[in-house]
Amino acid sequence: MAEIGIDNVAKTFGSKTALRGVNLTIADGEFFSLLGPSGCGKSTLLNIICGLEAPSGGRIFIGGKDVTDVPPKHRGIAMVFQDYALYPHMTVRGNLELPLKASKESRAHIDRKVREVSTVLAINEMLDSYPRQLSGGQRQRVALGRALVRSPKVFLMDEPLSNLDARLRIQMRSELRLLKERLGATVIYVTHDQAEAMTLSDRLAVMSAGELQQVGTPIHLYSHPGNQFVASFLGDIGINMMDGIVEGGGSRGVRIDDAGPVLTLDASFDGIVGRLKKDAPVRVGVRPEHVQLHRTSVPGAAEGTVVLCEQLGSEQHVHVRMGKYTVVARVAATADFRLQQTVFVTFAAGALRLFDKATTVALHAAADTVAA
Amino acid sequence: MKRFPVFVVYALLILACVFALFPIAWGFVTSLKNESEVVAYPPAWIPSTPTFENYANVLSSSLPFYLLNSILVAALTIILSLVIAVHAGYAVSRFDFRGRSTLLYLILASMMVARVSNVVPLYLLSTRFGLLDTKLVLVLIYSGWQMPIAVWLLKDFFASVPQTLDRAAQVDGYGPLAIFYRISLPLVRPGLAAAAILIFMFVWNDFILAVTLTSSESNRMVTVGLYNYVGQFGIQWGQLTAAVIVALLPVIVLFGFVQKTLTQGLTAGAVKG
Repeated sequence: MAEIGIDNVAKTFGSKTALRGVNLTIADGEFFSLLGPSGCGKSTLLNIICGLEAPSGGRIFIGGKDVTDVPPKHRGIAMVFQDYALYPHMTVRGNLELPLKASKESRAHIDRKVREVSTVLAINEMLDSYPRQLSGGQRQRVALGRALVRSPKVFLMDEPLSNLDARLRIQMRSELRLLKERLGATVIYVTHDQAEAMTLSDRLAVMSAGELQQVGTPIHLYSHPGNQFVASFLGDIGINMMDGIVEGGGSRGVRIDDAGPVLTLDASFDGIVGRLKKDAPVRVGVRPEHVQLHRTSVPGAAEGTVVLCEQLGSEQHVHVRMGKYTVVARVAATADFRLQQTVFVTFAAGALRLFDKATTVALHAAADTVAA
Repeated sequence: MKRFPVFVVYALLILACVFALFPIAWGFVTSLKNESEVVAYPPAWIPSTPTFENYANVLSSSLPFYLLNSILVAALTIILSLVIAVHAGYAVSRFDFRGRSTLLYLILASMMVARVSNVVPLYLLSTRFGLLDTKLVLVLIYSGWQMPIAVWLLKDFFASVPQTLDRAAQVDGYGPLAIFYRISLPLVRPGLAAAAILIFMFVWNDFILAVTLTSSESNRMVTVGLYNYVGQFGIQWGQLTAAVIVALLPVIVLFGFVQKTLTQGLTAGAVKG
């Protein structure tokens, strides 16, 4: 069993707080991502799980055992670093052998493990090369191999793909997930790339300013962001955000700005409509795929002007100016929109997300916010 | 930015090379002349009858023995100062302990004392400890003098070794000592080579300490040996220049050995970039 428990872990560096009371449980065999912008504390948390940093408070459990004071080599973990961290004066074989030699394994065992791992990762042709002779992708494989030879219970990965070019990154992403399925190990993966976290993870935690913002499956976090930060951070082209004012008094309307269109809250807001105060300021979020563009006026539509069309081949991103907001719509690649064209904008049913303007917390479902 | 034309750059480089190599070339030419041609005026650029007589005389004298003395003292000095400097350099580069900066500046300050002002006190100390006229006293003092520069040099080399390698080794199961000896130390080989060259050059060229603290033939260093050719009634230019050329050879050989290590970037491929 390699369930990981993070119990109220905090970390300060002098007067700077890197982590504040993080609580998290990662299941055995789970691919779990820590996602957030630079400086949010995700790498610090990974280093604490690894044992490279000591927490200022709280405990770390691996497989039910308190490992807070256990050195990294005795935690049953392996780590893949962002910059590979290959030993440059050793060949690929030397790099792969080092963890096994350090744990004083027999020569036969070392040879067998190196052979196995180099076959799995297709690096057996380069065992006698030095890291400087390898490409970025090959170095990344060797770094993975060095983690694999130890047959750890838990893999910790600190942005392992961020130094690769875009195409190779996508290829390695798939390979990583397949490898994880094959090994069945627990993986904790740190990244600032939401696409990586979304595609790889069974579950993920979004972090900001040393705190967990929300934990859940990728689709849950994408569809039901617990706060404005999570809503904005997930999604390749970002959620459209506008200021709104609740009409209140039993009405289900939310007016965009003072004089903008009135959006109607659907049944998913049944639980909170009664609690929304009249004229309460809110932030309204809607994903680009839920923005619908019409050539002629339809009931409840807001008028806008096309200001930019981005053709991606598989789809098209159309930027529409609506009053003081520019809303991005994800439409079919074949849809024909021209610059300066007048369009009418509606939002798909059930697509609106409301956030308290002051606290930025989601109003639609307070229950699915931070829940480790 | 406007660049110099290539021929100007080459002309300047050639000028610099001529400036640096002329004394050596002239010394070599002189060493091939016989006694009368050495003092002839105007001087001959090329010896009319080149002779290796001076070399034969030098090699049959005690000079080869002095060379061995210098090599031995230089080697021991390199070993002693580097053994201390690698540990000190690693410590000040990797660990943030109280008084670290002060210590570094104290080490630097020790290099600023004019060495010649230390000679008399060192002579007295050597006498008191019974070390006068031994190779050991030279090794100890040279090491003390050269260690600060080696510490500063190696500190920067250790700082250039990515710390992520230490962390990786820690996860892979190495303790602090194994990380130092098996990961960091092999990666600062260019720094070790540079420090060794600096120390070697210093020991090889020192005259004042060698002539002050050693007097017996068995402990004579090559610089003092060269001085033998400067006599009360004249200088034996032919033999002196031949001896100088012979004394240069170990330095050239050493450079040949360490040049590759000095210039290669050993950390290439370690991390991204």
